[in-house]
Amino acid sequence: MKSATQATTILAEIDPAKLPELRDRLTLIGQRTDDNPLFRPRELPDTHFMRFVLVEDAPGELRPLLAWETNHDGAPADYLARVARTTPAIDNVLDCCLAYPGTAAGPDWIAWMTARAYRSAAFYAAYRGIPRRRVLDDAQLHAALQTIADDPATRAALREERHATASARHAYLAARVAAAAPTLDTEPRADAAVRWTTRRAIVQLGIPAAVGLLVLLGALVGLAGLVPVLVGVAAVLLAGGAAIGLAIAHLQHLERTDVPIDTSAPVHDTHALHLEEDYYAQNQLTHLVYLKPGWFRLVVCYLVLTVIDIAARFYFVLGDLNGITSIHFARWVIVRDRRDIAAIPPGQARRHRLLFFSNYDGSWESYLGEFVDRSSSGLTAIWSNTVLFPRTTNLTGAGAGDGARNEEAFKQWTRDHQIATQVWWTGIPRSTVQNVRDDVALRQQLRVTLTETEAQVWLHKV
Amino acid sequence: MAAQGVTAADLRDIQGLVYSAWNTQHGHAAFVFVRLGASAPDARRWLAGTLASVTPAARAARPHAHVRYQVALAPSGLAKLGAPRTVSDALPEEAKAGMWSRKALLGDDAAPRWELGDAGDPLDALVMIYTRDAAEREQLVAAEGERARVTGAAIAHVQLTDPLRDREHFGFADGLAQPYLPGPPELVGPPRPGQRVIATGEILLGYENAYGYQPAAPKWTAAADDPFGRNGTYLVFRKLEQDVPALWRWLAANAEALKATELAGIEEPLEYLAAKVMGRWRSGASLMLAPDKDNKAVAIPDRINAFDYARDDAAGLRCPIAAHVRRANPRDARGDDAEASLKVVDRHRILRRGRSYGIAMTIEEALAHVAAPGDATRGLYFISLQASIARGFEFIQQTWLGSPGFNGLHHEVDPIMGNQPQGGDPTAPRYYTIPASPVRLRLANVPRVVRARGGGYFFLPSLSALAQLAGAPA
Repeated sequence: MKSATQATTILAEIDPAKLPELRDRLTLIGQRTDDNPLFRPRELPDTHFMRFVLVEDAPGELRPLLAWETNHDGAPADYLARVARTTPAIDNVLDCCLAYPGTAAGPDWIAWMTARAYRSAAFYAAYRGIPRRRVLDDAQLHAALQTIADDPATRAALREERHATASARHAYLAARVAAAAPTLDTEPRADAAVRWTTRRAIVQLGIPAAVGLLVLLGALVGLAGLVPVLVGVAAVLLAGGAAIGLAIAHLQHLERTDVPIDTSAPVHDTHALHLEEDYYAQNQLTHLVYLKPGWFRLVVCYLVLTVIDIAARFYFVLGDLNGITSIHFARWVIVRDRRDIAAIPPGQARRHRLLFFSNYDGSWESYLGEFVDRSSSGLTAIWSNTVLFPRTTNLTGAGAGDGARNEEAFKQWTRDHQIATQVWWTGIPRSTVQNVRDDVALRQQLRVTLTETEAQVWLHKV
Repeated sequence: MAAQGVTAADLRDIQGLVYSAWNTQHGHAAFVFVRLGASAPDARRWLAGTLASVTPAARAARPHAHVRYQVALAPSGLAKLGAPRTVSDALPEEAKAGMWSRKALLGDDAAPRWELGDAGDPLDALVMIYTRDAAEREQLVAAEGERARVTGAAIAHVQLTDPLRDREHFGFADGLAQPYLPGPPELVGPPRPGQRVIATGEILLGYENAYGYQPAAPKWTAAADDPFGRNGTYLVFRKLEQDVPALWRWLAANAEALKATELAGIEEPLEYLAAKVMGRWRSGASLMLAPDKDNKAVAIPDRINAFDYARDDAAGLRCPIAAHVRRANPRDARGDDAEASLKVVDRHRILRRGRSYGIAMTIEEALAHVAAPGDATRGLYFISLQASIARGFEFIQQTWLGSPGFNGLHHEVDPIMGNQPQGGDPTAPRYYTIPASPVRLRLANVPRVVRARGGGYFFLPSLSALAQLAGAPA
């Protein structure tokens, strides 16, 4: 399914009069996600993970927002149409928002939602293109294989001489599972892995090719003796270089003068957020932080997130985001402050916000540890544009800067800006990212003939 | 304060437990939990009375030749001592919350009470006494009672160890893979083969940790170079009851059922299954070096840790991925990159200083045992030292031992820890997978063989910090 694993983020202004009511409703839904009378996320169509979060502004200058973060299959408009059909109870949450058109069943609902949908500045999915239904089907097939492999009769047969090779054992298990569970779907699915690897190859080959082509063009232009063209190109390059140089100098100046977080105590969680964590094998994190004032940081943040978004779509496609293997879905959303200039108190700048939503395996401590240990530069490049981030140098923290490498300061900064997630639901509670990928491989290779090495790897996954 | 290594002067300041488990000559230990008096002067008088006895790491500075004595303080104890806010503000959140409130994260039962350290039983101070014989221990425990009496304190619990043996109660050599904490060569000697050298600041406050930073530490004053926390560490104490019959019965039932088929050709099926579950033979020999039968020749100090997992056994055919020791210390096998894995794992190491309690039971006795009300209990006082409890003990417990999806596992429990998997349904099937040929072997109905009965989080201050606390002005 080409349009599987999509991201939709709705940010709707809450009717101030209904905020306490909304809070109560979300608390009830959050406490009894599967069986409350208001809204049950399990009734949503094709949804991997979703959450509702109250996005409030501590100074009270910006209107409170309700965020609905959903990771789903199908194009957003189709998904919303299906939600309207299958889960109209979502009204019980959304009708606390300003100008809500009354009901999801009505004709204006999709337009209302779409008008409040925010693009992800960067979106990462660990198993891009794998629909939720397939994750569950693959897990079921794996469970069937487990049962077969536990069966003493199967095991005795596998020890016989005719099954001395791994490929023979693989073939035998495949035959047994087909016989034991004839109704079980064992067909391979459209092979997303091929698409992933192709995309990656395009990036790996495409970039050097493009650079080479440019150099070649330059050489041709030079050979043709088109001196004026060369001068023109040189001038453009010079101007561009000067602009970049100025921007870097400006960034370095900001980095020297920015106020970083002040930490002397060990990492602490003043909002008791840890009480919502670690009840499941998977966890959520919602993070809200203000960009440093001024347009420059906004532009840099957009640029960095765009690079990461492209990398996540084309390069980090194998369940591994620059060394982090525990994220199912993550997204960054920039919420620009679009207030009328007259509404901004004198002497203040616009207060743009950066929202981060993550759905990950394991504990907060291990997740943050992976950030620091394996991916500090990328994260520093994003979050160094936000307030109180540990001091950085040259955007990614190289050199003497700490950024995300300053473990305790980074964890404290994360805790300080983490916000409560009132409702969080996982549609695939029993699978880690690694499990999903292993289960995909088990199905894809179940009914094909494998080489001895391939069969050995396959057997280890059973 | 400039980060530097541990000096000879520091050794007179660091409590000796950091560099020694006192397990060569001091076979008897008592862990005395003291509830301090409510008035700060009383609490300080109590602490002042201990100062002359505290054993430092430096041999030459030790007060008693035959006794080892350490003092640890919980956040509640530090508060009663009237420590300034700069101390309490900089204590780790998990220590302030206490182990009892971290039960869900640690995978413990939702027990209504603990034997020690539950919500109604704050553990202010912990005195650790190590002696060469039981009589001396008895005398010193009595002296603690007297000291408490005259300073308005009370002895909340006395936990006695059984005489030191070379095995824990399940029958395995324990405490083998300790990281190497750097120190003066005359005290610590060189690292053993396979022993990872960790940054001093991973254990001791006031030194650089694995990230190149000094861990946050309690301070007496607001000054950046205040030395109060330096040479201190955090101590985790956990009373773990071991159900020895349950483990061996489960292993024996599986060994009996599988000996003619899966384990045909294995000399000692029961010992073999036990090793497959632990990751080491009972002698301590690693399955990586002795895959099919025990080999005492690789259970010697220079061989016992001389192995990695990823290079030789990524699939876990020798040492199962879910084996207790491989979960507790995955070495180079956490992720695809062995070097990166070692680097990450080095950031989650602890020093273990545990001791057993209760009467030992042989395997034969365990298998013949018929449970009856009032049976004697036995177990381990798990004790660990680390500069960060969250990144040390709790991380290992939660992320490696407790994670149902650790390193690609599918909803499995640690076979020894017996904890509830996070988010796990307590009634869900409990499996343990042994990678094998022709295809993995999966053992069902893994029993819960270890249960937490109590514990707490403590600060183990330096000797100078203890003196400062004892003499603090009113």
